[in-house]
Amino acid sequence: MKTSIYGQLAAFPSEESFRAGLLGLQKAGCVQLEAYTPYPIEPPVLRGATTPMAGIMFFAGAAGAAGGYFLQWYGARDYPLNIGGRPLNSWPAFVPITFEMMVLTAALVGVVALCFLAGLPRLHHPVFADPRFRRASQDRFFICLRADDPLYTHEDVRRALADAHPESIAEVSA
Amino acid sequence: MESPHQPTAAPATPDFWRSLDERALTPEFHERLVREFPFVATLAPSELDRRHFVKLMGASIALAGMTGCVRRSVDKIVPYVVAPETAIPGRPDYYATAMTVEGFARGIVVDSHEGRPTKIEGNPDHPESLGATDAITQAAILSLYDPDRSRGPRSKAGTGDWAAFESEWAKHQGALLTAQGEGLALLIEPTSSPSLRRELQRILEHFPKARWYQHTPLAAYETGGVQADYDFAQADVILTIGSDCLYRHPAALRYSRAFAGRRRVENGRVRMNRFYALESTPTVTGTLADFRLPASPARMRVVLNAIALAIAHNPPSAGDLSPAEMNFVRALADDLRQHAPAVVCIAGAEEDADIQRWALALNAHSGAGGKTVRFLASQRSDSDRASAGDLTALGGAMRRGEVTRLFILGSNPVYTAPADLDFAGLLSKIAFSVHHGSHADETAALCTWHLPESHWLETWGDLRAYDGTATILQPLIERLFDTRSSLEILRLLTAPPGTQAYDMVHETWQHESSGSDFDVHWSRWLNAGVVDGSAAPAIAGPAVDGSFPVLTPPTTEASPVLILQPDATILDGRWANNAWLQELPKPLTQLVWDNAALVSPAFASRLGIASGDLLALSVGLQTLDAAAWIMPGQADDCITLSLGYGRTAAGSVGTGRGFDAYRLRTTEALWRRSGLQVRKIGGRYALVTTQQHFSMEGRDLVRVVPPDALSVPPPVANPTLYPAWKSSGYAWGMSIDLSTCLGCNACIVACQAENNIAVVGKDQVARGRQMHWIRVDTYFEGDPANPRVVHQPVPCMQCENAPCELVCPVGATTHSSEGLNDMVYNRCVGTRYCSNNCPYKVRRFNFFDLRPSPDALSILQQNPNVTVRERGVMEKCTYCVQRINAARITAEKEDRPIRDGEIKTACQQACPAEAIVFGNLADPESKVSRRKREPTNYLLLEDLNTRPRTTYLAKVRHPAGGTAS
Amino acid sequence: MKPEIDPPRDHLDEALIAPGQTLESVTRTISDIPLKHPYPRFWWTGFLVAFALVMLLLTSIAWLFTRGIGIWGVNVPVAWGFAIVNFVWWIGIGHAGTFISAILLLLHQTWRTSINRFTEAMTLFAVACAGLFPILHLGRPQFFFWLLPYPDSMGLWPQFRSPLEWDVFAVGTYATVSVIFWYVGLLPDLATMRDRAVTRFKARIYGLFSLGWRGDARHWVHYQKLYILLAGLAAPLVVSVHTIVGLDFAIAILPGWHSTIFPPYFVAGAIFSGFSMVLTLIIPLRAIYKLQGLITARHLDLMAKVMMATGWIVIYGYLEEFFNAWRSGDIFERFVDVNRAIGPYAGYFWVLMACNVIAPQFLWSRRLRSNVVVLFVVALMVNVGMWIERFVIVVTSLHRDFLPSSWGMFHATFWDYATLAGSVGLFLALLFLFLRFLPAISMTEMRGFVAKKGTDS
Repeated sequence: MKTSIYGQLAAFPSEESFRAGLLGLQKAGCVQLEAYTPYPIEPPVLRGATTPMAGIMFFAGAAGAAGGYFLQWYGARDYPLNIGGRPLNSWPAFVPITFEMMVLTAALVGVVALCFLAGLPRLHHPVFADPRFRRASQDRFFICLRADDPLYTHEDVRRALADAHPESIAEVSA
Repeated sequence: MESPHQPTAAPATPDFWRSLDERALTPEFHERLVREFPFVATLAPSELDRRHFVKLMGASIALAGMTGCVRRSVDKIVPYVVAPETAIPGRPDYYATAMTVEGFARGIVVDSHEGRPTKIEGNPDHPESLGATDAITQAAILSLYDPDRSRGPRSKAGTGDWAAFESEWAKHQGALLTAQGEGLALLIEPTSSPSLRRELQRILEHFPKARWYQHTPLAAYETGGVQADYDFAQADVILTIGSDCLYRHPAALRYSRAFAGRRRVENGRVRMNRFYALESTPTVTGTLADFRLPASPARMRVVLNAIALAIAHNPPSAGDLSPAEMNFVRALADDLRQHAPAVVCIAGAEEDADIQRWALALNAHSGAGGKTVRFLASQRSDSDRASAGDLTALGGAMRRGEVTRLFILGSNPVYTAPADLDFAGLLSKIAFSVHHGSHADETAALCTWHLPESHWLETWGDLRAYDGTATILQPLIERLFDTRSSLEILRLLTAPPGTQAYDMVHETWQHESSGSDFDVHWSRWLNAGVVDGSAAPAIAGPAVDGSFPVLTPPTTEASPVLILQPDATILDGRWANNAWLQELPKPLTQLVWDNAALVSPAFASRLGIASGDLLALSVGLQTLDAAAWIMPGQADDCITLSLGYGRTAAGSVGTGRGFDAYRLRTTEALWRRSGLQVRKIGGRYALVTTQQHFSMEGRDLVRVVPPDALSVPPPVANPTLYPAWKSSGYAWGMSIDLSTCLGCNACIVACQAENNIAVVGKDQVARGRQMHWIRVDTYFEGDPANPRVVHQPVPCMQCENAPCELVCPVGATTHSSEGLNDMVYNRCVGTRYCSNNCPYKVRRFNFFDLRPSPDALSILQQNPNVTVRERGVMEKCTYCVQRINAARITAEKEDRPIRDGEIKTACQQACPAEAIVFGNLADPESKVSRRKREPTNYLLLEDLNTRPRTTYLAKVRHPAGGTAS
Repeated sequence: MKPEIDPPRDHLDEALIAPGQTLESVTRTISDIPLKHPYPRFWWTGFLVAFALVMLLLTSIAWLFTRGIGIWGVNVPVAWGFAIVNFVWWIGIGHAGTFISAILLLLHQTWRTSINRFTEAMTLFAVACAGLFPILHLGRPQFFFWLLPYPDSMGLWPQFRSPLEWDVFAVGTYATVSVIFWYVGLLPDLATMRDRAVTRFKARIYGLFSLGWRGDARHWVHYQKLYILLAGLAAPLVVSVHTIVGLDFAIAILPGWHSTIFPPYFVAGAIFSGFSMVLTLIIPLRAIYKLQGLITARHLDLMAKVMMATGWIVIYGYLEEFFNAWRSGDIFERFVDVNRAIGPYAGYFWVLMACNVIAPQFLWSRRLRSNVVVLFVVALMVNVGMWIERFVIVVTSLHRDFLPSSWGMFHATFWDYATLAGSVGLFLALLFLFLRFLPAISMTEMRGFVAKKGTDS
């Protein structure tokens, strides 16, 4: 029986050819596309690549700040002591810790969010099977047209990919 | 009788004693005892007979934490004020007794926890204490638990015990009886003890040809069998001539109290006296004076002659007096004329005889006799007809070979004898010599026998105070070691062993008292700590008319004079092994653990001397190397060195510290020696002080006001944004009167004894790590040659806005509802930020583990109501919170508020001048509240708005160079 | 912040990377250092020296815990000594990293690219050294956790008004966020290392830590956003941390500490010392590992300028202190400054002036600035000067405060110096391990930089 196919993996020597290939495929209507680059490409060329990171970290920070202040307020109330004649709720003295807690929470949540959004850690992935892919983290640009794309077998798509003159092109098995 | 501690007839002996003995004898108990208290084990004799064991128990039972009764002496002792039928564990009992101060009685009340004496306070009913104590009295308790005390008799051969000594003595006794005591000599310190003197009489009756000599390295407080006694309360003008009568004198506490009464501002008024001091070396007393004139012994005589002339309206000729001397003489003469007879002139006991006479003459001339000055028969045995003389006389007799058997009781002549006497050499030639003392000291080493002396808190005795009042000494604790009292030793000379000190004292007083119901009197005397009506009557003074002796200056004018004086803390060396006194800063120099050769600033600059330089002092045949200390206010052309240091066998604490001034002493010149040669020999010596900087740097720390303008800017409430914390109920506060503070440092030791404060040693003090919770700062102002001196006791200020509390990250120091700045040792992690942020620097840190090891004898002294602090935690003055809580408990049980004055902090209780007052600020009528309303009230570093609860009353002093008002 | 480091871009680019660098070349140059381990003799000697000092540190700590704080020179009044001085010094050094990575990133200073990874690592190790001291200097270090807010069985909480408590949070947060920032930046490079690793074992280890990063375009979007936001957080954080360290002193009422200038002047001092430390380390390293192609003279020149700028802020702080003391008329404040200049510790003060005020002025001259030896010596002096500055602040303020009766002196003991030397050893040892196993320059960012250059030209 035939092993299932993950997709077509095309390698490009330069950012320009890579961009061209990607635009071609997207024009041809492909949706299940993956792109791999050795450094972040500005501006993002892949359609629909957006991130909720900002919102997540903002709310995390807000929660951290609130929690930080509450911690101090509660600590002073829970075991009320006269400290140098200062009031229990010495808010000016509580500002620094409030700020630090804001930063800490936001940063921690941010990293967790990255892992969650990017599905990391994921130590195994079909593309790793392709020996060419080792250069994806160095000096090559890859486009992967996944097998589950409705147009995967369509002739125009094959042509569009070929017109972009990839360095090489091959199927990777799932 | 087996146990020497149980009188033959002791009906009051409680039953539990027997049961205790039984218990003590069980092997497992002994095993536990030894395991827990190794130091007992070290004493343990190979085979334990009952009698030994009872004594071993002594050192340990209190630690064993058994009920206190067992450690209380089994004899009939009577507690002070309230007599508990049975001791209640956890509640201290108080017993009145007395300790000897240079042979005189000082009445004390001893605080005893579970049978362990832990703290000495003054006896308010005793005329020479009035409830106060000095530093030495406070520290005396530590010597009871001195691990270096000798623990059993020791013969030169090596080991020995009482039985061995008794049998050996029996042989001599026989020989002596036939010879009527020929060749028997006794050497004791002059004493006021009726029983001792009675026993000496007894011996002389028994051995007519025996001789008793007296020796003390300190000066006598009498001339020709007469003591002068002064009334500082009535004196309007005071002149002290080299006298430290408010600090070191058998009556110093009474004098200080009276003097303070004339310097204290009350209700905005003060009945100021005018105080002149003429002295060669600064004394605590002299630096209190309004007008102080430093003068070398030579100049002193010139000045005194001038004063004598000036009083007789012969103005001194400016030629032979410096301007400063001239002003002093003029002002003093005017004052003396105006205020006679309300005049007191007192010359230091160390001054020469003719100066003493001069002082008596001035008193007589002013008609002070019978008014501010009265005379008493000598209370000490110095000029007892029966006595064969002093150490010099004994030395002579020994040299002539008239002494074959010598008993030395409670004195250490090998160390304290003048250098030219070579007492050590003479002593080693004596066939049979016996030393009886608390330590195996320099003298013990050269004697055939050393017999251990019981501590005065372990045995019965009696003493008379300077004013004649007698006190029966009662034992507070069973003898810790196999020791005997001097009474028992003396009785041993003439009688078979076994007689108890108790019986001897008892029978003395049966003779003294007038017959009927003696036992009632007896227990009342024990209870109150004074034998009522025993004060000595005034007698006619020595025959001096008002004519002044003309004082001839010494011939060798050129070279400086050597002045010897008793040490401020260890006296003649007898307290050398007391760590509290060694680490107690000496007034004015703040030196610890050492003595030093005090030189005047001018003299130092002439010879290029810096403090700590080693000097070679040579006078006559004697020489000594000693470290120099530049002493502001020291008279030029004289160098002062204090006795008591350089000991070779004082014990683990006192041996080998400082410089032995006795080596410069001769029988002819005990206190003043002219013809001194001083040479810098290069090389430095580490002199350590608790205070390095003696100038106020122009900062407003100690305020001084003249008596005619009694006011300082009143404290103002600085504005603040913080809502006030309301204090509930009591608001504790303290007021310290700088006008009456003598700077005697008694408060420091009192605090140390009360609060289990550790001793850190010289090298740690050098690193700035002393632990005293209260310190007495000393500042010199003005001309270094004759500065104005002020003292300022600084405990924790208990700030309401405490800077220390704010910066502690764990809340280890917080504020109590009653205004105390509480230090929570258990919570402290030791960031030390609180100390950095304390503007008064009153916090102390445990840099090392300073706790006494569990097997240390001194642990018996520790106050069970005060936490012992561990390594790495901060500590500080607590206003004696344990005393506050004790009073609170009592008050609540009696369902009443705490009374004003019911709580006395340790420093307050010790203070002879009543300079410290503690109490409830919430009560406007409390003593402390009233004091804080005085016009001289001010806050230290007020601008910081720390709002201290401890405040000060400005020092009142006549402006310098002021003339008669 | 510093306009003078914004010359025309082309010139900047030319200077910031040697010509002829390609994606492949930068990747190789950088990844070869950990993978091929060149110059082993240098590495081993350096590492072993550092390791010996680490042993000294451990010995000192063991003795400290056995005997107590008393083995140091601290006392009353000078209850804080080397421990706090070292803490402030290290935490200051730890500021350059985050400053370079975060603030310069936000300011679009592309020249940071080739040094940020290394300086971030430096930051971590400096903070690690700094973190030791607050715990070591406790009287009862075994209870350090009482400073942490945990539900205590007695209902006790830390005292949040204390600046020391703020420190716990500030330093804790700073350490955590620095690690995160550093690791996130490292992620794609770890993937590169995985893919270039020669042995299967190394590949697995690097692969493990790279979390299976594949450079997926969608991941890059999240990644970019997270990285810039972390930078946005780290920038105020780095300022807050040394502000709070400054408040440790400013909150106290002690003359010489109680001053509002402290926070800004501490921050400037931190960056000043941080950059000097970066230079002290990078100048030899780029020579030894032949990295002149990536860390060019232009980089050194720019860092030197930052040093001068922050140096002048610090000088302003000094002047401000004296001016305030004089202007306030407070006799205690005035005395502290006079005492610093002519008191028992005057020697320290004048060495401080020579190192922090005089030495950096040589860098005005372009010729001296471009001379690496001069630059290295100046940077070294500033490191020393900044340590002494903290010593002067801590000790000379404490040893003579309000009451002359309690004035005292501080004398450092052998163990004070041993602990300081040991912490330097720890710092170097960690740096050597970093050089040995991780890419010291961000390959990802270098590739992006090379690529941009390609497109620009």
